Amino acid sequence: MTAVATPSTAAAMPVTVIEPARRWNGPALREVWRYRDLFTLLVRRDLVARYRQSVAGVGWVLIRPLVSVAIFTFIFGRVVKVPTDGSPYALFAFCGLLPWMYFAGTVGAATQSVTGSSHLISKVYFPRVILPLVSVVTGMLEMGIQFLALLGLMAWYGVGPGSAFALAPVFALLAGVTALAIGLWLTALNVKYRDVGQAVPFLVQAWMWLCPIIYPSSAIPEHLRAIYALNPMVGVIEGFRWSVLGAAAPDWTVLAVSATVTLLLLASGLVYFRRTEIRFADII
Amino acid sequence: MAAAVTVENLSKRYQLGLTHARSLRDLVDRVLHPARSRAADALPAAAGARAQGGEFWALRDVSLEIEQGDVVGFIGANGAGKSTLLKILSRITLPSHGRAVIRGRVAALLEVGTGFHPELTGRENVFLNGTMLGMSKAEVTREFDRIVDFAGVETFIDTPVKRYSSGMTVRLGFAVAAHLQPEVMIVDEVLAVGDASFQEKCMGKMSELGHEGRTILFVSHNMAAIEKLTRKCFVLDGGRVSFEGPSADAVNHYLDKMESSAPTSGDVSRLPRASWSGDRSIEILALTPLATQERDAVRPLLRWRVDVRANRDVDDFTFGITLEARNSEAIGSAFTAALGPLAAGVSRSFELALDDPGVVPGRYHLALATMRLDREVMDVVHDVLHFNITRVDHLPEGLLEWHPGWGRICIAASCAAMASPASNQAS
Repeated sequence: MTAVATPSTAAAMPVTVIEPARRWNGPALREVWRYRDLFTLLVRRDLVARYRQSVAGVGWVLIRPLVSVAIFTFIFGRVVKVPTDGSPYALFAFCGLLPWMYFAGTVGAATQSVTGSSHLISKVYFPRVILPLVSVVTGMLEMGIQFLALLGLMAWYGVGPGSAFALAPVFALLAGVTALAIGLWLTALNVKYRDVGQAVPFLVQAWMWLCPIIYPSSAIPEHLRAIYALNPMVGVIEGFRWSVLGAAAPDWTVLAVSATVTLLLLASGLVYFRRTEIRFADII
Repeated sequence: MAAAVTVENLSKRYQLGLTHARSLRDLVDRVLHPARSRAADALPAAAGARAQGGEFWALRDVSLEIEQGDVVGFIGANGAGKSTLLKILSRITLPSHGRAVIRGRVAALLEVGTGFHPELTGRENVFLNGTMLGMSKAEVTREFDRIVDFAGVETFIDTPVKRYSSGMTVRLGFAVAAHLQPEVMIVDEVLAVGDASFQEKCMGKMSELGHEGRTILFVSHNMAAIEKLTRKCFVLDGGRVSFEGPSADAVNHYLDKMESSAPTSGDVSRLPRASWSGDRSIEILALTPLATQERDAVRPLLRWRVDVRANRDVDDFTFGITLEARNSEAIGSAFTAALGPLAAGVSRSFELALDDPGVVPGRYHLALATMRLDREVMDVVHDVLHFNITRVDHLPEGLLEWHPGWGRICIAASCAAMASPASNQAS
């Protein structure tokens, strides 16, 4: 939005200037900060609404990954015998699933975040970018709980943390940034074209097979890895698994390519979101 | 001192292909069936001109200035541009041209209880709604007790809102908004919800805010509320400001325009009905005035013929008549005796007459309803059978003009001197 509130020295009152849209109005960080209380309350609302009236409650956060890990371990660990660079298959799969489930869930939630709040968009002003941001942070809290379960599973298998364990939160954060980057694009597109909302679950499902979750990225031929790493989640998952299990050092080219793609997507996503949000209330 | 709100040449254009499907469909409907839609929501005939070349100007070159501490109203037919103007001023949407400057903190209340989530408790929703309207958490905490007190929901404050009655939800929502303490408050049609006593409370709170020197921009279709609350009004018509001035004049200007476009007698079967106006088991088809509408001609205030048709078998029914002042404030109501059964498909005509309650000079109209005996409305037409009263019957001697503050009915009183004063009883 072009409207800016700045304290006026003369009357000591904020002055709001409302003008037609300009091409680019900056990332609106100050506006987001001004609405930080709303942000935290929306995160809280999403968590409460999700778990308050369910029997298993927060248990679902653990049930989903644990069941998936059990199935993957049976099929790919026992039956197909996928190589894991030396780690127990259950841990290998969990380390891949944890950032992936977060990413998939967040992208899905973010895509619906604006269209699902059309009643808010048309009735009250706040920086719209808060809505996908809320999805990113809500998922983080769930990922944190799952991370504790992962530590428990590691203790069960008698596997100690890797030497780069302190970097695990960094890669978790990178997963958040990647989800935000993709989320900004899809959220804004979904307001204009509802087909996006239909396509995302399918897209995410297909995307999963392009990530080193059930198989190690060492299974990809070496000359194709740079292309493989154009998928930003490849770097996230590889890095996370390495920092937690410390098994195989990641391919640094892969990490660099993935991180660059993430940053490019984030910058372009933010620009696109800010330029379309001007018309959200008109077209939603 | 600088004006609280300055609007310069503000315009809003909607690209037809990109608007929301519903508004687009509405728009096509208006252009294709101008007569019907004019009756349906009294959209000005300018609609065609406003929608040219795949564009629609919801607002065109609006300039206005509102001083600090002013309480101003915006009136106009549906589609006149009121909501668009308010949406721009509350930053929900951006203008296509022009500029607006607002000095002071703004709170826009376009709906009561925006963002209320049914699973959250009243307490949680107060915080969510308050921060959504621009308060910080600390400010909500400070006002919390007053908010709960105003809404009168102390006992249920930790109960999920989904268990609230709709009245409680509305009360809580308005209570949050009433404690925003902004310098500029934008209020759109919120008084249309809630029960009468709560509406009264809201009106009180809003005039209190006005007296505290806050600037209030108020949109309503309730002319009585507009006149009570605001001193000055802008009338919007076809996306432009067509009148600006004292509220009473503005209301008259607006009503004059509305009257010339809508029939108030004759075939009323296609008049718009309010959404709650019943199942039309007995439908009101036509109204014909029978007597001259001046009181010196005939004793009843008004006599008219009404044609109805039963669309379903009805055991028994009655007419309900509400006499309303020009701003649709109710003066009083009357009900006829039970009129017996009516079989489906049968049409009937009745002659109705309304006694004179002693209304003072002014313009009046009726709302007429067919009701079951438990007063459940079957059909109702509003704003029909306009008439003028030009003089008061038993006006006290020497009094030439009736002051508006005295009400709308001139009541006969009597007074007789008593034999001895009662003052010596105290000793």
